[in-house]
Amino acid sequence: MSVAPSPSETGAALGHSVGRKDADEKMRGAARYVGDRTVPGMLHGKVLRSEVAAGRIRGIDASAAEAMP
Amino acid sequence: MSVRTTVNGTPVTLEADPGELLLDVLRGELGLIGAKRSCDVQVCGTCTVLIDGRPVSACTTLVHEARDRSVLTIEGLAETPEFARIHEVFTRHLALQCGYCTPGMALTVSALLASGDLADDEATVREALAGNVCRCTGYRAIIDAVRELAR
Repeated sequence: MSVAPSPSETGAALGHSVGRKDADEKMRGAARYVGDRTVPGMLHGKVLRSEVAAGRIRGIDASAAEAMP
Repeated sequence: MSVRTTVNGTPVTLEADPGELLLDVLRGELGLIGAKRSCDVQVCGTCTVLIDGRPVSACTTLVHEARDRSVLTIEGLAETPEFARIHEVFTRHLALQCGYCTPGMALTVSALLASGDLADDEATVREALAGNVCRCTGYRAIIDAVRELAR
């Protein structure tokens, strides 16, 4: 396996201002972050918070969630 | 509910529920992912778009508020001649790190430049960018870039 020398090894980056490789797509809003990605069959999760401010949990009925694909 | 509006110069008819947010329709129906969701309460500025040239937070703007108006997102701004200068100056100053706030910054700055409300002094620039938060805290480079743009 051959590995190309990095700019720092060749000296090409020394003494120069090196531009940001990722700047263009970030400036244009084209960069894809985690929240911008979709995959086939992707599921969405949601936190279900208690509707009771202070209470004692007697049991959790997860059957509706478990019935989901 | 059908809403006729203009997005990035193109007339479109959007199908949306009455309570639907502009940000969801831009990102979902139109695939314009440059507007980012973050705080969801109109304080961080990552979802900034221009409506009739004015910066608004798409996360707290209803689709129907864009009816018969003109919406500009970063994808549209990027096609304009004035973007070239913003792009060049921001890039040269390295005024972006993770880049999540950058589209919103660019849109706000473009509106400020168009309105002539920008001046080359730190206090004015900080005030003008108060609605756009950079969580990388890279403000030094951003302020330097915007001050240069204001000159």
